[in-house]
Amino acid sequence: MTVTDLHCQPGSQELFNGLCLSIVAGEVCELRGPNGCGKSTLLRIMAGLQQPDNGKITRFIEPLGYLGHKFGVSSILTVRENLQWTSTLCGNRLDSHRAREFLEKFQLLSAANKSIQELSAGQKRRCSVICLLIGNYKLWLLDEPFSSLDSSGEELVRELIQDHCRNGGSTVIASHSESRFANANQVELGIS
Amino acid sequence: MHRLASPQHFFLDTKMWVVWLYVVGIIGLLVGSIWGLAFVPPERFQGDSFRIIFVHVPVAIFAQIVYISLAIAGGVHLVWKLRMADVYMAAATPVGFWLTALALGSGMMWGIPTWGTPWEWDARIVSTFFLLILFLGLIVLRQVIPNPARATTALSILAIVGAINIPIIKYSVVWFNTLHQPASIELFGDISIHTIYRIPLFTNIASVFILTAGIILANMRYLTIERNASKTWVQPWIQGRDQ
Amino acid sequence: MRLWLLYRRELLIEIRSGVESFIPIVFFILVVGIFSFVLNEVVSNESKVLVSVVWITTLFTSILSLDNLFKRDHTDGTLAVAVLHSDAVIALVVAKLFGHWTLTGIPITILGPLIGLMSGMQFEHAAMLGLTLLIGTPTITMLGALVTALLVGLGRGGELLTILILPMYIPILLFGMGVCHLYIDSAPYTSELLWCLALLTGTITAIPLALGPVLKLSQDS
Repeated sequence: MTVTDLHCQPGSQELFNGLCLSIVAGEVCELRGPNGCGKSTLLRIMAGLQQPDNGKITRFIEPLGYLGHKFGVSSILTVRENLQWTSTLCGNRLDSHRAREFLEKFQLLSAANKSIQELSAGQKRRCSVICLLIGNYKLWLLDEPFSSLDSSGEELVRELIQDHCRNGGSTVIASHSESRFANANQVELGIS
Repeated sequence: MHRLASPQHFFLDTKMWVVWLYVVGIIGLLVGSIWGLAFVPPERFQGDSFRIIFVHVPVAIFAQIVYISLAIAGGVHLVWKLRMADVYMAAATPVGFWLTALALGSGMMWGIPTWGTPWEWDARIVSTFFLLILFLGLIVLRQVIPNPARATTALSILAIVGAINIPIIKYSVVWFNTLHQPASIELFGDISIHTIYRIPLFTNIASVFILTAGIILANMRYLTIERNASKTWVQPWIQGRDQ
Repeated sequence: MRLWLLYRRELLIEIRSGVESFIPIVFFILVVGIFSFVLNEVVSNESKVLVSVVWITTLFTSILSLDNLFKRDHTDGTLAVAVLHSDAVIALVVAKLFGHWTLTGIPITILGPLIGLMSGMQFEHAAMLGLTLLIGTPTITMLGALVTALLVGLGRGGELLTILILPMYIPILLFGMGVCHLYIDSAPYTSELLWCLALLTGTITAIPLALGPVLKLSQDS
C-alpha cells in the first residue's frame, strides 16, 4: 500500500501536507505524535473511511482490517455471534476450532456466549482483536490497539502483531505511548 | 471554461460580470414592472389583479429552473468531482428557496381575488409547495453536516432524487385530484396572453433570469473566498475588505 | 447463505433489543385506532377514510422506525467495519432493508386490513388495502433508508428526517391510497396499481446499489 502526497485540512488547521508513505509486507509502521496531530485521521484515510483533500492512496489488497476507537462489535450480540458476523462479511464460514483457539488465548472462552455489553472495556477490545484475526486480513490498521488492555493483553496483542508481520502481513499502528516495536518504521506526525 | 473551473481565476474574472448582471437585471426589472403595472390596460376578466402575473410567472419559472440546475450540478459533482459544482450548489440553494417562496406567496395573493381562495390543492401548487420543502431540506442538510465533502455528496443525492420526485408528485396530484374533484382551475385555459402583455412579461422573465444569475454568481464569489481563505491569492482581498 | 446469515443477525439484534423494536408497530395500532375512533362519528364513507388513515399512519410509522436503522451499527463501530468490505456491503444492505421490512412492513400489511375488517370494512376492500400496503411498504422502506443513510452519525434524528423524507413519500402515498379509493368506488384502477409497482421496482433496484457508497461516505465526519 502506498500513500502519495497526502494533504488534509479539516477546517482551518492543516494536518498534513505532502505526506508520502508506503507500507510493504512484513512491516510494522508506527504513527506517533501528540494528541490532535492527525494519527487517527491518517489511519481513517488509509482505511478509506475518510477522503483526503488531495493526494492518492493505492491499496493493493482489500479488504483491510481496521480497528478504531469504537470496538467494531455489535454490543447486543454475543462474542461468538460477532465472530460469526465478521467471517460472514469476509465471505467464509466461521472455523469453530480456530475461534475456540483464539477465545482460549484471550481468556474469553467463558464469556463466549455473553453479549458484548456485559463485558468490560478490556474484554471488548480483546473481542475486536479476535475479529481482526478471524477476518484473515493482510493489512491491519490499528488505532490505539493497546488502550484499555491490561499488561497481559498488551503483551498478547504485541506478539500477535509481530507474528502477523513475520507471516507476511503488515500493520500500521497509531499510538501516543512509547514505541513497543524495536524494528518498527516510525512516522512522526507533528502539529504544523 | 476550463479557466473558470479554478477558484482563483473564477474569482478574478467574474468581478465585472456581477456588476453588469446586477445593473441590467435591475433596470430590466424596473422597466418591465413599471410597464406592466402602470401602462398596460386592465385585463378583461380579472381587472387589475392580474398584474401580479409580472411577478409570479418569472419567479415561478426560475424557482423550477434553479432546482433542475441544482440536480444537474449534483450529477456533475457525483461524476466529475468538480469543485465549482459544489460552490454552485451552495450558492444557488438559498436563491432557489426564496424564489419558490416568492412564487408561492404571489400565487396566493393572486388566488384571493381570482379564485376566492389563497390555497387550492391543485397539482401546480402542491408541487411548488414540496419544491419549497425540498429547498428547505437542502439548506438544513448543509447546515447539519459539518464536513463539506460529505455535505455536497448528500445534497447531490437529495437534489437528484428530488428532481425525479417533483414531476411524479405533479402527475400523481393531477391524477388524484381528478379522482376526487373535477379540475376547477385552469389558469391559461381560455385566456391567451395578448401581445400587449407579452412584452413586459418577457422583459421581466429575462430580467429575473439575469438578476438570479447575478445573485448566484455573487454568492459563488463570496463562497470561493471563504473556502480558500488560507490561500495566498486571497489575502489581499480579505485585507482589503477589513480596511 | 451469506445473505441469510446477515439477515438473521439483523433480526437477532432487533429481537434482543426487546420492546424498543416493536414500538413503531404499537404506535401504528394506536394512531389508526385513535383516528377511526375519533372520525367514526363524523364521516359518511368510513372505509375510504380508514384506508387513508392507515396509509398516512404507515408513513409516520416508517419515520419512527427508520431512526434506528443504521444508528446502532454506527454507534458500536460495526458499520465502519462493514463498509470496508466493499464486496459484502450490498448483501449487508439488502439484509438490513429486508430485516427492517420484516419488522415494520409485514406487520403493517397484516394489521392494516385487520383493523379495517374489525371496523366493518368489506372483505374485498380490506384485501385491496393489504395488497397496496404489500407493494407500498417496501418502497417506503427503500426511500426512507436512502435518506436515513445520508444522516447517519449526525446526532439529529426524527425531526430532520421528517422534512427530508415526507416529500419523497407523496407519490407512493397518493397512488397506493388512490388505488384503494378507486376500488371502493368500483372504478378501474389498473394503471394506478401499475404506477405503484413501477415505484417499487425503481426503488428496489436503485437504492440498495446506492446505499453502499452513501454509507461509506457517512463515516467521513
